[in-house]
Amino acid sequence: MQRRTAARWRTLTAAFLLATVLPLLAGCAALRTDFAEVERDLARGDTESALERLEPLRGSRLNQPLYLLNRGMILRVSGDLDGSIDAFEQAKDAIGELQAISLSETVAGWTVTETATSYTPPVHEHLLLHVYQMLNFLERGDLDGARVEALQIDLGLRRVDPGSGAAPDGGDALARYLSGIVFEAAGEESDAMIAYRYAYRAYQRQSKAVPRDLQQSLVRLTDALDLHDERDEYTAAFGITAWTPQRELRRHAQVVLLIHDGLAPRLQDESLLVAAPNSGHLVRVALPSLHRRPSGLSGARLSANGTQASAEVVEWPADVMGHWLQRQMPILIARATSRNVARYQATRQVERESPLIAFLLNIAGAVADNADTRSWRTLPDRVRLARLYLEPGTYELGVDIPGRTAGSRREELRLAPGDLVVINRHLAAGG
Amino acid sequence: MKRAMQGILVLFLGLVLAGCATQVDRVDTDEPIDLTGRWNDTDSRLVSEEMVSDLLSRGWIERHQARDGDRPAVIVGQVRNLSHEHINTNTFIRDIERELINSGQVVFVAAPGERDSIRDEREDQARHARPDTANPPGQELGADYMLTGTINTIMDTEGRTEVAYYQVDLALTSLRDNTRVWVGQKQIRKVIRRGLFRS
Repeated sequence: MQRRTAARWRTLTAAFLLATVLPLLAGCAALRTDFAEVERDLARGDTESALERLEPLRGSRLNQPLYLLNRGMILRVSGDLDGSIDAFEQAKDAIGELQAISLSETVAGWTVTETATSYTPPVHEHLLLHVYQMLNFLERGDLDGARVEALQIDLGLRRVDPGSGAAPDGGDALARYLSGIVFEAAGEESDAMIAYRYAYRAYQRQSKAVPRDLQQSLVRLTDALDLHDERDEYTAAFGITAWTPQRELRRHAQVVLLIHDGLAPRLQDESLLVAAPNSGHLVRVALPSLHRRPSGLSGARLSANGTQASAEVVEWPADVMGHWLQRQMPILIARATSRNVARYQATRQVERESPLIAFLLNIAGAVADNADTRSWRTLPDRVRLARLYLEPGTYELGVDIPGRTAGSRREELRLAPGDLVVINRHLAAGG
Repeated sequence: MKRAMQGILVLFLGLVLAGCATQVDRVDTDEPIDLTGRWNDTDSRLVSEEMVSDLLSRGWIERHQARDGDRPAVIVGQVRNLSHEHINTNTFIRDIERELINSGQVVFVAAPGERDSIRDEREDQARHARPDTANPPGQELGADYMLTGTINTIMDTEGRTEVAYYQVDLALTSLRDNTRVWVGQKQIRKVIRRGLFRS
């Protein structure tokens, strides 16, 4: 009698596990399908349809930051800056709530599947959230709003690494560089200098070429702030012999072009599924791998009445993501191993009472064990930047993107002293 | 074993059901509620009340009345948000305006953004209102003083504890000769302790 009751409970437990695993499985499949469609819409420039396709994610408790980050990006591509600002602010709140640990999600991540946990953006995505929010404010002409983002970037990076203020996988170079541009436009040259210095160190740390515009900014500001030793180090390192003094540029306006090129890499589920020779128990190791999607853009140019600047690559979200994934791999492998052990133990428990349910549990558990392929997929593959300092006046501004008609444009622009005009072009893969 | 399993299932179902419930409570607007530790309506109201109280208790009003014989006309200019968080300075400006107007010691002039719509209405009156009820142009009151300011923050973080130090600086400047007639400062310090666990 007692044994029969115990068996019933084991069967109930198995059914309960199946009931929790299968909805998770269904949820993951839906997530993949939605994003492929969203990206196709973005490549076609159909942002309205992309937003509609994103909507099923709205109600997903585990994917709130993912929904809001992508929504914010699509809204900004569509030109709805207010909507984008709102979505990104909500994303910040959602990410903030995830700083605390969820015991149930942690246990589920180690025993059921990676996707049973809330999507928590890595540091580089968090940084780029601030970068795109900063660009939203700049495009709206709200320099103070952009300055708030610059301060939040600094605060966030000091939390991550109080010593160096650096991001573990990168992504901080553009964030610091843009912060410098914002501080400079606000007339806060010492803060701009500090931000440019951080950006310079970030490029060095990531073994990337320091953009020419940043080199000139470092020389100009160290000169203006009487940091002569540091200025001489920069002039020697960059081979700069002449520059326009900062006091002259204070009366100028700045025009900054940013090209958001391609889409960030897609994470793919790379699974290995084998049956154990003796027991027939299914062992599945599911890990994510990167699939890059560059747009193949060779360059871009910003011009104004004959003055021109080439857009240089200033951020590499795809490379940063590669570093991040490499750093995550040991813990991902440990969790994948732990899930297999947990599944094996659960199946063995049920097997004695009901081989059929044990068989189903084994299959369902193995199939449900997916790699976490969630990421902010509407980020670009890389970002290019060009900056012009122009005297106040009226200009015919040109954006030339070789081989692309979508982003190239000419427009008349009236500039006043101290203006900071930011032009953004989002070129999704194939766009 | 059986009892343990029953307990786990009951606990699980209980947690799921508890998570589904939405609850709305109406609370007094004067009751301070700090959800995130960020600048909120209570901070805005308390700072504006204290700063305007300080502003009105200084001698510049008496000096103005002794010189010009009437109440000073004040306009609120830009209050810049130089803090690390997005603060709606408009609500803070409204709180200051309310305190100043309700004091009855100063005359208040509409801000530039509002003046445009008032002028549009006056133009509309000139075309469409009865002549004896239409308000003519050129009768606006010029402000004697402009109130401007900044909101700054200093943040300090250690582990899950954060100290936010807000400093609000306001200055009243004479539009006649650019002299500062009053400078006020108010600080708020908040300690935010973030929980280690969530549901």
